[in-house]
Amino acid sequence: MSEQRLPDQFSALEQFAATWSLPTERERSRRRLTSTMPDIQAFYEAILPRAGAIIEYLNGFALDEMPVPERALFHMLLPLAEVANAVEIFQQPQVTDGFDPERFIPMHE
Amino acid sequence: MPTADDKELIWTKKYPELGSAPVPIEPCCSPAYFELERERVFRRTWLNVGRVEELPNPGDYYVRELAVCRTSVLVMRGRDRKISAFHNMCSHRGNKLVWESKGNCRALTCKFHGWTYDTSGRLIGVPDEKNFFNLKKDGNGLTAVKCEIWQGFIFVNLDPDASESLLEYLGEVAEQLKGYPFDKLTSWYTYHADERVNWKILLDAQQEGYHVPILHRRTFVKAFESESIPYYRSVDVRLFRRHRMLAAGGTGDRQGVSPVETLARRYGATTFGAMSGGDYAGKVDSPLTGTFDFWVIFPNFVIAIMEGTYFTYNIWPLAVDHTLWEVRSYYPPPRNAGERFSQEYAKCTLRDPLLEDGSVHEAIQSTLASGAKTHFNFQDEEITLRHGHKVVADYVRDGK
Repeated sequence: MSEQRLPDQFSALEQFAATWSLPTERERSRRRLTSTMPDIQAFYEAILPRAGAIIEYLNGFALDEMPVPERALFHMLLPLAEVANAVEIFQQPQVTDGFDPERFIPMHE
Repeated sequence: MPTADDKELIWTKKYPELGSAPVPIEPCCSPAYFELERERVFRRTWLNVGRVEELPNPGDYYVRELAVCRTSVLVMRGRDRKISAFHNMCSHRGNKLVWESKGNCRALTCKFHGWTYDTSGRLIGVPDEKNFFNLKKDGNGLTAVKCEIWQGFIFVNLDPDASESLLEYLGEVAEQLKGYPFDKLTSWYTYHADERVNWKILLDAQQEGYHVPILHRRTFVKAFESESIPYYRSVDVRLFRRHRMLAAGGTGDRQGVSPVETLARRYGATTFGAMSGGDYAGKVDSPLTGTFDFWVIFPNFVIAIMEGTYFTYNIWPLAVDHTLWEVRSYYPPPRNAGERFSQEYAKCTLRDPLLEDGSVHEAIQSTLASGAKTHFNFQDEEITLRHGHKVVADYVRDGK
């Protein structure tokens, strides 16, 4: 591990930060689609039990004025929303029989 | 032979004038029919092009490319704060005036020869004006497009002779959606999908619930599963002169709530929680018939309302077999990380089932022009499609 990205109390998640701390939906979606299920599952299982505590902690910061480590943590929380369906429903990264996600373009970022 | 009881053929009994005959496929793959739709439907009806929150300040503007109407429309809030719409076209030689998708200005200047317009569309500057021939600036402003606003939704009508106001056009829709908190759900996320599909096929795949237990068996099915029969039933269908609504009644949380969904619901409305009428934070009192009311505003605008969130579709035809599907989902402006996370989950779990739909849209279109089949077979829950095809056919035939 080269550098610490996350706030100290969440350092147990540090190993996921390089891969999963992603600021845009495009990046999060591509990470989901190009990861293996074991990798997605490992991320999901690591972050889910801590997600409530992460949110309560981050709710103490203004959304658009988070310090760098808190922002990195926030950007690692959002992909939990991205991968939830892969783990809980499809048991694969892609939507089963789904339209090409690269052609369903988020215009909000 | 199956017989109809109180669980079958409900809507056809409510609207017997629509009949029950198979419906022709040709209007979904005929280029000639598409040209008639262009002239007689899209150039003569009120079309939603956005919301007032996109233009908070005087001088704010955005552009919508309305290929189906063969024009580009400039929507602008003037210095007088009034929102107007114009053909995005210079009065000199017809150059497209604004090339970027949005911005703010004191005035707009054509990139070709520098003709300049103010935020009310008046021509205020012509370089080397004296070298023209009695050019009248007064009569050479931008060409206005009829533009009216309902509940913060901006609509335009490309027909300069349109006699109906937007409110008259919306009719019962405006009346029955009164009280929905559109003004509180002003934070939205937008997706664009460019699909090889006819615009009516795309809309039809969305405006019925018959497909939900099959196509969405992994996703939305649990929101609407019926206790008494293994099929989808709307709790109400209302067909108006042009517009229509179907209401779905949700199952609440009887089917269980997944771990991430549970977390997201602590901070706001999720797609699944709101559709099914489950338990979640951020409910806003709303005039709903079911838990999920799907309003189709003719010809191409959908407002799907739930408690605490809604989404819209703007379905923009590009060619007979080519459509831009614009999807927006709306939430209250997020105040903290928890609310933002909840919205992230809500939009991802709307997007994924829509990817299930997107595949079907193109798969249908890929076979339509084969000529192998001439008609669609619609069932009772697909009366909304039957109604939609009839309204389009009436416009194409009569021009109204």
